[in-house]
Amino acid sequence: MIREFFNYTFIQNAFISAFLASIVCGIIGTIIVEKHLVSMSGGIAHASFGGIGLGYLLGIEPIIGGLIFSVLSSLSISNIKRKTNTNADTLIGIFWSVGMALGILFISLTPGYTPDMTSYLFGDILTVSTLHIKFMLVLSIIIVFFIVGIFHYWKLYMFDEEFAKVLGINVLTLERLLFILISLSIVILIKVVGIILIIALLTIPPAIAKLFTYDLKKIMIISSLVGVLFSVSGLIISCQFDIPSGATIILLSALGYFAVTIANKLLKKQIF
Amino acid sequence: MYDIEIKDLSVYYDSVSALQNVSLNISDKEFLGLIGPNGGGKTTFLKVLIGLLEPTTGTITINADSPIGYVPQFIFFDRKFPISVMDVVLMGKLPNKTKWFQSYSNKDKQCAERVMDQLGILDFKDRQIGQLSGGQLQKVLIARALVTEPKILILDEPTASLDSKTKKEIYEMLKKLNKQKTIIIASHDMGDIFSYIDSAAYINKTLSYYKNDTKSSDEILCKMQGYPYMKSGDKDDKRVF
Repeated sequence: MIREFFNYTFIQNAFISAFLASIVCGIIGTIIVEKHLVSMSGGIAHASFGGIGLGYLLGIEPIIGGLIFSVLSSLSISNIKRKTNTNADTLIGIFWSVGMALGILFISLTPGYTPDMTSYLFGDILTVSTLHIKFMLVLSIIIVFFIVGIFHYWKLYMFDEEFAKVLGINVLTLERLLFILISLSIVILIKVVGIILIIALLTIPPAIAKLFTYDLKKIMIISSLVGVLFSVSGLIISCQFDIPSGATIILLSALGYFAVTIANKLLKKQIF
Repeated sequence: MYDIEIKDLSVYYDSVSALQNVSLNISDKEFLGLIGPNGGGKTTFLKVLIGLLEPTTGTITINADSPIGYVPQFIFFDRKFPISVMDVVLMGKLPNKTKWFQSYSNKDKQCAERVMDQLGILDFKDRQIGQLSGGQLQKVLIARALVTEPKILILDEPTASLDSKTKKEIYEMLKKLNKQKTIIIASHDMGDIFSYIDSAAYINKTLSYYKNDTKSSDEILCKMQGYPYMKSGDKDDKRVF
């Protein structure tokens, strides 16, 4: 049955997008977890909903609107935080809900029938078009290029910003670049697992990888592989049982996390 | 010529004054101890020196070709961060102009290993930083500052929350480094530090400078009116301010 499935373009697209999303999640997710930017990423993801709504209202590709909103909101959060000394947490909360509110408003203003937003909120990997795949591929290449290209700088930035400043490295540029890359990854993930479920896919694979290694590069690689495993098997399960793909991937990942953690604890107990 | 010349330096956080009209000249190969109460402005003073904070008024001139070597307090670090000792030390070798797809050269690695060997931490080079003791991690941070080949070394409370044996080790090590480098150290350890430093600056919004001619803490501390003092060897590291 699976082999027959692969003849369909939409199934092929689903698997390619699951694969790309996992690679991006492994790399960016690791940085988000280590730099404590999880709630920040949640904020950016939800803010992008405003752009998706605006896309519908203006009749442009909603994902492009989402991309613009997520980039702008992440840069705004970092700028406002610096200029006003407002707690980043508070700002993230504001952008989080304002983005959602704008999205709902724009969609209600869109003439004609109300579009179904569940594929953006909860993801629908089976509706990923070939155009989406090309878009995702370009964004993934950009992300991998910028992270791999100056990997040692990212490591220093994540570990000790102050020392980076003392060395004369432009930390502000690194921060802005990172926020843009996080926004790009979120846009990649929206179609796969949806705005609401993104955080789980960004955090669970690195959390599992951290159980096995102390090396940042290896954490990224293992997270990507773990991501591929969960998203591909989640996709197969969801097709078999005709259940939502995004939710299946997330629940499978969470289950995997708990299983690995418990197994890890038990193994350690036996050794010592 | 002095290594560092500070003139009428004042720093304000919004309207709160942290440092007022501080002037100080630091000579080549001077070993200067910064002392004073918590919240008195020691850290602010260091941050202005290394350029992390802009002075509100006044000027700082640094006469050195190489960047200042900065050693932060180890207790502020996330010990769970996935990074090895070697990688931390090598950070000092990152060029400030971004080089794409660069990896550390063998020369960089040899330099890092040489410095680690000097500080007695070469055996731990592949360990993750969470597997080190506080004193070992502090030495790793000193090694990272040293690989930048600085002329001036600045340390913020390097011995805070370390046991007295490790404290002594670190001070002895700094004394050796002092033969080639100017060293500025902020410290709570009133008693211990005085046998090593050439001069002391007491910072509490303003700065008073004392030459440590006698190498005895009592005389200088006597000059600093009202400064609470506990002799080294007192229990724990609790100071009452």
